[in-house]
Amino acid sequence: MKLTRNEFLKTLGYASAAAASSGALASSAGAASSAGTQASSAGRPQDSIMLGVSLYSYQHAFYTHAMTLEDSLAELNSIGAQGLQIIDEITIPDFPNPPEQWVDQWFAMVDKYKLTPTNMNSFVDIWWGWRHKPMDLQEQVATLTTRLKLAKKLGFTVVRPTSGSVSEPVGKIFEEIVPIAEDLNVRVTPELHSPIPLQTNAAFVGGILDTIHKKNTKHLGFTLDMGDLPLPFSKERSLKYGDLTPAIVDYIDNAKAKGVAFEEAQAKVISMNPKSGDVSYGYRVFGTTPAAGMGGMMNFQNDPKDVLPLIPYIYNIHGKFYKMTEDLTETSLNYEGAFRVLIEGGYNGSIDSEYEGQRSMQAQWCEPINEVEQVRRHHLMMRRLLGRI
Amino acid sequence: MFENYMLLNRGFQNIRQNNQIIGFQVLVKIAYYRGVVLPLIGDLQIAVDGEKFGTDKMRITVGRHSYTFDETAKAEDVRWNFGEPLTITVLKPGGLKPGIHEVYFLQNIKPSYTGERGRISSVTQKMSLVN
Repeated sequence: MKLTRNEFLKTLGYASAAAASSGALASSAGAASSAGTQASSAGRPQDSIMLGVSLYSYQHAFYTHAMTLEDSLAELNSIGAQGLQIIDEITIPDFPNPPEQWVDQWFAMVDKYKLTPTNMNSFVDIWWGWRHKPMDLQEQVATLTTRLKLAKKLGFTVVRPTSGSVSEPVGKIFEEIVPIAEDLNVRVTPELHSPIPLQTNAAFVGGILDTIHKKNTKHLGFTLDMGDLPLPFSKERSLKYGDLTPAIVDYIDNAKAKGVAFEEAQAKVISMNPKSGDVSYGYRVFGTTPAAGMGGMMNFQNDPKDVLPLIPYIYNIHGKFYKMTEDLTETSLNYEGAFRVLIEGGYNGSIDSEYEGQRSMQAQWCEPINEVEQVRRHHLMMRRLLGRI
Repeated sequence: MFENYMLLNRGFQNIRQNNQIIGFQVLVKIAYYRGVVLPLIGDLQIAVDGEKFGTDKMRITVGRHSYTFDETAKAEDVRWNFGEPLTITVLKPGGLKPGIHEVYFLQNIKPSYTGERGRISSVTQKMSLVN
């Protein structure tokens, strides 16, 4: 690649929320030479950050058929979001081979609602569910190649593949996919998701960086998930924002003081209709680690400053959030610190809201689920942090 | 996640073949946040009023095709789409009596990144069977 990173991004339609035309992106999806967009002239570094939404945010509404795909895209337009990202296996009918008519409709809607496809979140299930067989490396690469071609077909410029567990060594798949990604001009960006350590000498980050340098490529990088940058835990803040239930916190504190066994306390907490924060608090107080796959674990060692050296390799950001309050604050993640670092480091990709708070509510019927309102508040917060309102 | 939404009241009925009731069916949605190919279904369990039915008693129907649970392990191109029910037919000669039943359903979805444990979701619901 002889283009600079900024020049390259311009060709991808990433440069400016004001100037990028989704029509131009659609027609230039495969041709890096048709630079139909130009950089923002506003001057401040943060002005070249694009704001968008991942349709993951509206998963409950889509699951219950309360919102269609077009409803979701119209909502993005209504809040002035430009970046559009999807989970391929939620959104795309007849995955991975959508009907041509649907592809036409997709581009018509992207154009109508002035959106820019950013990141297609995909999965390479390298173990076939453990009942069938493992995928060999060749099958893994072929599967990911299919996803990259699909992404390109739909105008996405970045693919976030999830494959094996991050506790395993970085897979050979990322090395093998580089020439294919370069050929297709689609970037492959494994996700820095909670609780992955963000330090450059940590296994996962270091392994991907090594591959990037070994291959000297701009088509392998990272998707950063904001969930990997938690605020330090504060009982007071969690109680204030309703992430903890006072009666359950009192029970847990007393049970620990009295030497109640973890299993007994856990059973009692579960009988008290806990929020996810209450359950996490129980693990914290009892010093017990949740079983693998339980989620809710955060890496409190990560600091926004850790992101700075990674910014040249971050091609998309999941604006993960769990809860937005009426004072437009995310109650558990370090958005203030992260945005300072992203601006300082000159990040100029898209930050796409990824609401995940609905998942803890679904199981408990404890609060009404309003994904649309939560995303709107998140966009207000991001605009405030970028000095746009 | 979608535990409270995955077991559908609609479609819960006995199934007849040649004027004999051979079992009953339930419609279920995936509780994971995306659709998957059938081999990623690690386990399915159903119990009605405490009577348990394992996967050997189930037939899984997607579209117009039905599979035994063992056959789903190799169905690499068949998908359980997000938000769309598949039909589980439980083989139970004589079926269920009309009335309100306590139905338990468990699914375990095994994407490769979670490790072999998978993502287990279960629910118990009162459901009326009319016919």
